[in-house]
Amino acid sequence: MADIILPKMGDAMEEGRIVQWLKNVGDAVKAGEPVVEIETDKSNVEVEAEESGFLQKINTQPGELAPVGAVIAVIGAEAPSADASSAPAPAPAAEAPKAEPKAAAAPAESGKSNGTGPKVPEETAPKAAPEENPSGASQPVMVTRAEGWKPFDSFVGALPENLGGTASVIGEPIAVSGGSAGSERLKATPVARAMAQANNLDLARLKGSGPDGGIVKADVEAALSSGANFATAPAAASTAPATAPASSVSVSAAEGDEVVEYNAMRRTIARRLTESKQTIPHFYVTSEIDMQAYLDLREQINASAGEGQGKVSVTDMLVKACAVALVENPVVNSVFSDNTRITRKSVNIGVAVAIADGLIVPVVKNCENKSLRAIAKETRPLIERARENKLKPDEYTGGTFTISNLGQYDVENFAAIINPGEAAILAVSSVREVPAVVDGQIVPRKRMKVTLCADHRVMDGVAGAIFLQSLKRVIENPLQILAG
Amino acid sequence: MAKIRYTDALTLALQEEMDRDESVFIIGEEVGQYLGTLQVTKGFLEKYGKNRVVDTPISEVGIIGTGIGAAMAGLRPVCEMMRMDFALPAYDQIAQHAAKIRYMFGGQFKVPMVIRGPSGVVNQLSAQHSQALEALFCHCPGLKVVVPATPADAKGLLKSAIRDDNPVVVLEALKIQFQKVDWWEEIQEGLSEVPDDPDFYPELGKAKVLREGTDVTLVGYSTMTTTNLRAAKLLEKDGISAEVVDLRTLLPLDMATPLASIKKTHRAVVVQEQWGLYGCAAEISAQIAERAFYDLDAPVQRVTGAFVPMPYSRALETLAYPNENDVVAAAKRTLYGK
Repeated sequence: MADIILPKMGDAMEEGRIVQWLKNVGDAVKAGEPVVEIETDKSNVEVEAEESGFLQKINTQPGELAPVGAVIAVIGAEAPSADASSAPAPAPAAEAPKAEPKAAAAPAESGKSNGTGPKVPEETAPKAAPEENPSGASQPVMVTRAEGWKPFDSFVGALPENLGGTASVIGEPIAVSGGSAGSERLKATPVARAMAQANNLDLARLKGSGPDGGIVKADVEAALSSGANFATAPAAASTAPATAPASSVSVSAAEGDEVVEYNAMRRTIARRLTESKQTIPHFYVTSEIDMQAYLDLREQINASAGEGQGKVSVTDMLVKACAVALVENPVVNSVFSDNTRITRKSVNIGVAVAIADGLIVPVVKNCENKSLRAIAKETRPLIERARENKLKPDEYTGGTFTISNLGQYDVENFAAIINPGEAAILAVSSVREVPAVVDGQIVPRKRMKVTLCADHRVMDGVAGAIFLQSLKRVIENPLQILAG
Repeated sequence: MAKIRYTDALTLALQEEMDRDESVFIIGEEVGQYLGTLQVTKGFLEKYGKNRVVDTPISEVGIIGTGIGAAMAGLRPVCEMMRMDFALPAYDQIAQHAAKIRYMFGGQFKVPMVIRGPSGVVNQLSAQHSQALEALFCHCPGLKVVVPATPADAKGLLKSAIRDDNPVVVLEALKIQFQKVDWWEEIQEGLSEVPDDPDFYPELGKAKVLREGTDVTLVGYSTMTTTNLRAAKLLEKDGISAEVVDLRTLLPLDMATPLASIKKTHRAVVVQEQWGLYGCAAEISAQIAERAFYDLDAPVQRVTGAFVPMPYSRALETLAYPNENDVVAAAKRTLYGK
């Protein structure tokens, strides 16, 4: 079957009039033989048959107008049946779609159509589709792109395969060799990166919803509005009272109020401690420790120190005392992670140091293997550098337990917030002279309260209490500090 | 404001400028006795006479060359190309002479001329008569290139081109030139409205936001601007708010308008009917990447014609030509399949 279509004979031609048919229905026609004469705005033109066969049907009668592209007649391989030849000319629009495709016989029932016509099977598009799709100007073009068909914007750099070239596709990822496997770069869109940087978010902690798990703007917006902690920046630890939450609650300032824009450290403190307090179930155990022997020992040590040997501070002794107690109670020197408890091999004790508008926690590593003197020697410069804001990252990370000491400020007792990544923090208050009952007598004694703030996922109350018993025993019998 | 067709807007622009300025004249093939191949200059010969409506032999080199000389001598020629494809025989005149004379003569001469004609892919005119060649003209320093998308700009920008003291190529959108007023109004209310003011001639080099949106910016020009407006309507049904930027002129190129839009939407689709490879969308996409990188939430998408000589077959032509569904698909790619 072949359609005879009203051809477009010029730029402006929209329709043509049939002057006369040179063949009648049922006549044999040869390819190249004139079949019909058409009147255009410039001249009359004869239209030739494209295939040999029999003129089966005439859709547009002499004198009638037809739009460019309309099927005005049909040529078939066989002579038409009697009733077909006698039938009056049907409307072209109604008839055109019936023309049968040849190769792409089933214009794909499968696959979705975009609504402009039958489907071109994927493997044949675009090669086979076009010819087989009859098109009348009065109808939408009978071509749609099959599922998987690369859009027309596909062909860059070369002709499509069916025209002798190799197609490449704009926007398709191009595999590039080289680059070490396993060193995966974090995928994030530029605007997502810019927003994360502006908001001090750590992109590595976000989940990406883009291609290949890439982080897109929507992911950053979701993270910001969730109020959860995705902060960048290294450890900052805790001392009570907790700093302002990082969440999205916003409060307007009244006239005359001072508004201070947070620096990176304050923002980190806000985020990390909010996360800690919100995600770690804290519990608190307080104990009162007699400090007389401890203070006496310190005085003895410092009084008898040799030339060039630095002094030992209350904090140094506290660090070593905690190390001894932690070795006895390894559960406190642990951390919770994904329903597991990781007990740390070394005892790395952080000492919270207040600095201008913030705090930082230098860490004394491997305290279990160091003498009191060694700890003292190491701690002093660490704290000094912390105050000068000169700590290197490995000097404030890797802690397994933290001491927060407000002893200088005449504090009776307080609670702290666990530094994320650890299981407990010890809140140390002032040494105070208080009335105490010793051997049935009320006597003035130097006493200090400590509060263990612990992660209930790592240990229960009893374990916390037993740790404090150990600590109390060590401090009240301070030779243990030297022996440990 | 009158609602008129694009093609009538072109006629009005020529008429108003010829009425206003006696130095304006028309030269081309079949512009006079044949009334213009597309009848843009219908009635002009009668009204303005054969000195101002000049029929020429079939020689584009002659048309442009005559135009350049006339322009240098103080007239304002409007050279009509029956189709912009036919400007190629005169490409030497355009690129080497029209574009460069002002520079080569140190500003002693200027070339205030217009080269105008229908351009772009049109129904089944096939490989040699159905193509978009704007990139060729955009690659010539010294030219201005105007690509009106609406009847208002067809009139206004053609008038601006005639009044400009430089050679200006005006590429008219043949595919939509004869669309009726209703067709325009269906795409967007008021889209066929043309200011009556004979002194309405917008500045060349100013893009325009034709539709506001928040999720993705569709950048286009000429016929593709109407495609983008239709795509924006389809996207709206899917809950995606698309902003449509019409560039209006390619030289000078106003990037400030699309960049401001992209800063807001963070996503861009650049649409053109010409071949993608080394096309105008490539330049625009590169500038977006250079100047708005940190605002982007997705790679810039291009929607362009296939890199093939335009096939005659209607079906193949449809496959090779970008439509609103392709723009919708590209926009959704920038939204990661939303």
